[in-house]
Amino acid sequence: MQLADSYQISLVRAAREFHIPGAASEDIDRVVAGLRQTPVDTVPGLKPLRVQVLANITSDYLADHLRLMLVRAEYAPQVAPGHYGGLVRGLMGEVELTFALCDAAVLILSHRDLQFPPPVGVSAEEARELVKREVDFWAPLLTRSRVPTAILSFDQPARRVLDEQDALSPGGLGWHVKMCNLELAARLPSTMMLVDAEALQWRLGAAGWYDERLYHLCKQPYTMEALPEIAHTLVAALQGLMGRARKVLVLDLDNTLWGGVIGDDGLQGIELGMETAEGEAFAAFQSYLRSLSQRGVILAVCSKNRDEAARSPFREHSGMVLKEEHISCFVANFNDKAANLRHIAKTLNLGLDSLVFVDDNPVERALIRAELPQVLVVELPDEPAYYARAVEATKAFPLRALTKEDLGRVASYRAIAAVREATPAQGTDMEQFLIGLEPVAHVETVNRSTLDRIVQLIHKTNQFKLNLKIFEEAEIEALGPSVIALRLEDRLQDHGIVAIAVTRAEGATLRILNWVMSCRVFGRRLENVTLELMSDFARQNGCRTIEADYTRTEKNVILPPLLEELGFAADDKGGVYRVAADAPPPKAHHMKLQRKC
Amino acid sequence: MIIMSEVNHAEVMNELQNVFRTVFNNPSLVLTDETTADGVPGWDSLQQIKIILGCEKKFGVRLRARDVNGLGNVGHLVDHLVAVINKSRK
Repeated sequence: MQLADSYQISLVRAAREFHIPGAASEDIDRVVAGLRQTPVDTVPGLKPLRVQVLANITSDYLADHLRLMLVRAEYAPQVAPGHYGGLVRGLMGEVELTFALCDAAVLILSHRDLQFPPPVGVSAEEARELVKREVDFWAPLLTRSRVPTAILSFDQPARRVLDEQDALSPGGLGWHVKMCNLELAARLPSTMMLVDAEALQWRLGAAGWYDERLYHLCKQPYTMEALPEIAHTLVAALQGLMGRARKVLVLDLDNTLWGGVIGDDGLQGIELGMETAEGEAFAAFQSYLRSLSQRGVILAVCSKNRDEAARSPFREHSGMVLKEEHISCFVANFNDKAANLRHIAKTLNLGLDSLVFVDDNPVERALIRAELPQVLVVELPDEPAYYARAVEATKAFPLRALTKEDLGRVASYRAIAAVREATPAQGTDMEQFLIGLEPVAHVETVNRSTLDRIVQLIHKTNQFKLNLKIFEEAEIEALGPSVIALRLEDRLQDHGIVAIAVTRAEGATLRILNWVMSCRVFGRRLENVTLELMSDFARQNGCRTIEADYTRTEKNVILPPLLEELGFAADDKGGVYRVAADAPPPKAHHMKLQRKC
Repeated sequence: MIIMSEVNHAEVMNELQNVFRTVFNNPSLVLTDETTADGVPGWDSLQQIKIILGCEKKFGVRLRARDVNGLGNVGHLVDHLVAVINKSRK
């Protein structure tokens, strides 16, 4: 293999050092030019990724910044900028977005692309009809892509001809844009994420978004300064679609969740609550964190303190918004923080690349950056009132659709940490332990209420996952009863749908197209239950063999030994694993099976 | 009141070279009066716009693309910049 030279490595390092959000500086210009000229696919640790951009603008400058943001997200990117008119060619099916061509796609919509803008003076009824025609015109684009795709929604026009009514009343162009975006969002398939251009405009401001001169010069409507933020948001959306959203916020305590040092200042001395401006800012930050926790972001604490002192504000301070119940893993000791972050990842059964680290101390941040480059470190400002802004700006937690599992996730991880701490290492105690959890596996059917979660779990799983194949909602629906989805419940909690096998009967063979299981339920033998159900299904459909298509990735290396333990045998190349449909069952799983009537 | 002194050809040429070095990510790029787009790899219409924007930022002036695009070589660009900068300082 070709080795990366020092120039390529320095380029990647420079790309990583930009703190987001940052305006386009001269340094950014130098790095994006470097990444345009020099591929970095030989730099260790970067995953190759081919991205196709489709747009009706000149997207070369945007492509420059997409490369930069992709390198920051640990990819070795190959970005093909779309050419003027590319969007329409995509719509007509002249450019096919398949894995043969690219691994991901970015589609850029703009209000200039609108086909049915309302003429001044149309009635409300006509305005609604135009929205319908507009969305019908663009909707085919939503079905064109087979690869993870981020779409930038229509942006608000630079000029508001109908003044304040432009976006508020039917007949305004702004209103037309808004309604079309909402309608496209409602029709979005699960392989796509709509990036809210109106929210981007709101963040950057009108003067930060449009540069009319640049549009007339070279058909790029955006200011150069807007490009890093646009590219960063699009890449975050792609990461969400590719299962690379982060999961955990690891929080320092002193001067991060409250002002002052609990060990020195004591309960009465720390600043927190409505008495002072600073105290109020810390409370507001905690409220933001609590909201994130409610939507499924796991919170953990990593503090250099005695455990008892660290917990005392959570238990006794009236200004605390966060309580111990919001924290899935609480670590307070005097070990170095790199070791503690490793411990937290292990306790939650997640990779270090799932962690986001929040600490006011620049020395700790530098340590984690150096020791654990997989962890995303938030560059906190000095002013606590801006902490929440800094966390949000990382875009570490992209969300395509909020599911029931997102809402229950925090409880679930708290239970994992509890189970981990109580789990005996192995042996006969293990059997007693599993039985003691009183587990029930619910067999779920494919329907409106489960579809979102099924598609999402296949997307998001990395470790227990046979291959990279993902499915759209329609495909899952079509496969219907040959999709096995299991919800795990035990005496501690309901984990939701956590295991899925997508199968298809092909003559005497039941083929497993993909099989995933959430890492939250590893060690619970749910894979044994899944196999049992597959065997039943195979025999009912006259299949004698079950075949699994395994493609090795960086993260699913745990599978081969697990499959072998389940009774599968690999073919010569290790790509196909087979087991007889009437093979004796592997280890007892101790689960009660519950089917919906 | 601060009176800014006039700039000369050599000073502007030196700064312009830094703009080019950033845009083309080439720290050893050397400009002469006779340099043209053909002599700099990657100098296309898109990079031309980056050069214009880079000059505007560096020298604190507004340039008109039409004026710049008609210039034959780097020496003429420098002359144009000197004129625009000194006019803005009067």
